[in-house]
Amino acid sequence: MSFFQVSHLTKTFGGVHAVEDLNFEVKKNSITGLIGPNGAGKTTAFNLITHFLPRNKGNTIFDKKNISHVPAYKLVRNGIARTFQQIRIFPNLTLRENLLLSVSHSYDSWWRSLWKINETEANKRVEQMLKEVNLWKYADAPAKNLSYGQSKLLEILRCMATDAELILLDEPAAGVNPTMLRTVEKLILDLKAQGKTLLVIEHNMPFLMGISDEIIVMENGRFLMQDKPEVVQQDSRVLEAYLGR
Amino acid sequence: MLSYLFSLLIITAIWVLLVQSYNLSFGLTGLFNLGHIIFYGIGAYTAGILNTRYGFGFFENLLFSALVAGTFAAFFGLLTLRLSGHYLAIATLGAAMIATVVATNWVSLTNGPLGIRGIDEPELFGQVIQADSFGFLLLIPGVVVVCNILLFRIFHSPFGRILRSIKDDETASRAVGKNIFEAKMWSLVLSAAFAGIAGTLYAHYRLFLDPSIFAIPEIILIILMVVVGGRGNFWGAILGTILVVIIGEVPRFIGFPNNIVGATRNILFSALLIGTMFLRPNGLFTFFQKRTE
Repeated sequence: MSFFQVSHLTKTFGGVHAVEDLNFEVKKNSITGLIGPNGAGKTTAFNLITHFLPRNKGNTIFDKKNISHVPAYKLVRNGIARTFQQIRIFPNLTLRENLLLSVSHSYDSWWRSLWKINETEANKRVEQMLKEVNLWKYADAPAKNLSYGQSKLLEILRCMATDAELILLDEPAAGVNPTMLRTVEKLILDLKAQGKTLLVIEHNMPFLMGISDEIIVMENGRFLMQDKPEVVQQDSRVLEAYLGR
Repeated sequence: MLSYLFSLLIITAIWVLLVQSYNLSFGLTGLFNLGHIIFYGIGAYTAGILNTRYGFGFFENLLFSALVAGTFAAFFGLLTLRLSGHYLAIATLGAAMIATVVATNWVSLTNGPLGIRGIDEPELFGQVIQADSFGFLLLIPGVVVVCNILLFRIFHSPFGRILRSIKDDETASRAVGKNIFEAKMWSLVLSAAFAGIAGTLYAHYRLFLDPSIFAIPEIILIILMVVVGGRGNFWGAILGTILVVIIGEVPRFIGFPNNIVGATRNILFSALLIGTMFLRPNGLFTFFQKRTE
């Protein structure tokens, strides 16, 4: 059953069709990989889905709700969270504060957030999350002190903290060392085990093929195919898109 | 000598509130607003007009000037908060220039360049608190302390955390569900309301107002105080204000001729700023903070 559906998603920059009539569906409680050569439009598609870029046309349906016109900041409250290709953490905030910002989105009205003093529950949750990835000892240090891989982890944790049902990860394994990669993999699989749905852009094929239930392939801004990883890996169109004719 | 120290204390207290209010929007939220002095001026003029024409007292004026300055900031924010960085700075600097022109030329409201005279001294339980009395020395810093307690609460609330996240990375803040425009708007409105209160304190202390209150160089001084103490650092803004006020008084205190006091002061301020940038780019208050990096 389709949990998340993208239809006719289109974006042009001047005469360049960055994303053209993109259609795909994502099943509930699955990990779906989104792959394609550089410039295929994967990150642009993420930005269009999450409204960080205005789209020319196209609809996005999430859990039977049309979220085509929901502004970026409201998507989290509607159950969609994302990470970015270039890491976007809050460098001058501590790790704890980075996560509290996400945990606390439920009392996001400025007035309530002004007077909300007791954050014991939220703090407990943050402690648990940071301990899981061995970052608890840095909880009160500024996030700018983290290594690249640790920053990636923090960004994924921030998505988890929002309790979103659909999580979009943009290259979670890029530039991450093998040890950290196992932690990232465990986090992603744990999220699936918790019933979450994930859409993951990634260039590390062994990693992605190992965790995905389905793979969507894009080429030149268009949908090329969607199938199980083992089928996609053997498809001549995919090989051609990556390696050329 | 005593009256000089007395006056210095009162002015420092008013500056502390004005600078802390700017620290909320500029330091904490990262809004490079060069028009903050408008809110201070509006607060002062609101108090002056309401007192001299309608007989409003000091405490009523505290409330009304905060409301008027805050409301004006909401309108100001609607026009400018879609801008950021240098564009916001230019737009708000333009607004500050317009404010001076309006205060000078809207004679029916502001009495133009002649200004507003005869503002009453504050009254408490029917007793006039004269500007050179000990009561005044308790009243003004008392209001400043109460406002700073409220500001401290804002700085250290989850709302303050949202404002700091906006300064760090607006896109990431939006990605975790924060309404950036709303948060910036409230930051500006609250910041303006406190600046308006500082303006009221000034009006009821000086008992006279003219358009020079909107003087643009004042904003440079406010930025200096925030940067020297530490942008977004609550205690830093207080330290920065006190340091700048004290250093500004040095040439006069050691008896420099009046014609070079201003220039010497500017040299000292520049040296202070350069020294801060070299020693502690995040503000001198970091000398007192535990290093976590």
